[in-house]
Amino acid sequence: MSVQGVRPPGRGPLDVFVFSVALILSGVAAGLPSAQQSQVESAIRATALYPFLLLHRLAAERGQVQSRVEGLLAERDSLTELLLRYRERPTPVEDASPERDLGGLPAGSVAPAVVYPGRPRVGNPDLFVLSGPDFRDREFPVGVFTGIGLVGVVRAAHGLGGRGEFWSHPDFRVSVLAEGEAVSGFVRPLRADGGQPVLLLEGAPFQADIPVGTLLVTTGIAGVYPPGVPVGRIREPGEPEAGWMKRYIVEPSVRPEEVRDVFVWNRPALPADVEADTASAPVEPGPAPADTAAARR
Amino acid sequence: MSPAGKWFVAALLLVLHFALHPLWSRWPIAPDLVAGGLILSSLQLRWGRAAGFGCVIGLLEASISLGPMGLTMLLFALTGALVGWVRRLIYSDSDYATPVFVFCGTWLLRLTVTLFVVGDSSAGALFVHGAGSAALTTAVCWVAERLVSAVTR
Repeated sequence: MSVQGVRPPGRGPLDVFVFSVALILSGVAAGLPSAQQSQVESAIRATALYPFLLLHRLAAERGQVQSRVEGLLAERDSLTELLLRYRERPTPVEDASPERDLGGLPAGSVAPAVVYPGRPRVGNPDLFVLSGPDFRDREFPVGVFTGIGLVGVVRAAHGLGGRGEFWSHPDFRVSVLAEGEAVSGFVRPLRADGGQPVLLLEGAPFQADIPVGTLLVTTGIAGVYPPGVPVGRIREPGEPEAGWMKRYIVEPSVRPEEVRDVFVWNRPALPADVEADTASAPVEPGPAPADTAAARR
Repeated sequence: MSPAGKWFVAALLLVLHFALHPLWSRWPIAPDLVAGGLILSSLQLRWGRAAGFGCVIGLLEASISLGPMGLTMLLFALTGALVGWVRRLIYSDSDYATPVFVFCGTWLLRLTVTLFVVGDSSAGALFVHGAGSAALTTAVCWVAERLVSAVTR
């Protein structure tokens, strides 16, 4: 076809040849097995595209560092909030002597530790091994948390370290208090079908409504965890429990897969006048004796 | 603008595309700089060489996006050849026709890639996302050409 009687240029045999080569190369590439296609792509990524991929990797690493810094800043802020919450705790009446200052409150101390998830039995995501503090001669269980929230509990010594369970373990329980609502209850893990584990608040009074987003913190009533550690936030109401107690789905503050550096709680030492009194301590009832007569039968 | 300036703009768009690839792939409507660079290059080439150039760019694109290699090379080669052939056919040497080539070529390339590579035949993906991306690409190419033209004048 021509315009104004002039034959358009660009129809030379070289163009036809190059066009044909391009079509043939495309066909050959389409006919290659996927393994060979991957090899070709890898070769191009390692040569012509290498500077661009290096740039992408550097940008991604910078983003990860930025996100890690933001996480550390959030943890620092949360720890500061936890510290302030401790300082605002009212002094018990019997401890209100003028010589007891805030530093003397029985809040205990913390020791840093590193969590290794999925151990000692590889493949169980609810277990972990802890290294850092010496757990020999410790009284178990011991609470584990980060500046953001509760992580789990150490159940026994494991070498010099300890082994324990994340909050997602089926045996995990913790007593909690809804901040600003004066409602308490127990929290246990809940693993929905195919979903990530969450927490379930049980034992909340039926007449009390806990707003969505309310923070749940530990009460510290059993002495396993320090009081005031964030556990999670109310996500939605659950099915009522036996008609007179309410349940709530709780979004945990800390996900086990995000945890590496944690704190282990060292309980405060008892005063000297009660520490040595073991004679009047309540004795846990032992297991019932086996029915040997029935066994003989 | 001089031919060297046009080549510089095309090369700049291609380098920007491969450098910022993760950014572009996040949004459904985004400037398709590889299409813009291919079309601007094809406007400077004869249709057969434009097909060869498109084939090479398609190979790079398939390697960085891990898409089907042969199909991507073929679509890019056909787009380059079509742009070069149409330009020679209608004797369009005017710079004012370049945005039309960029818009139509980008939309055509997005349509075929969405249909045959991604496998999405929804009207939204074909017409809204495709036309939006083509319009954005045209705007970016026009701005880049104006900037380079102003600097090299």
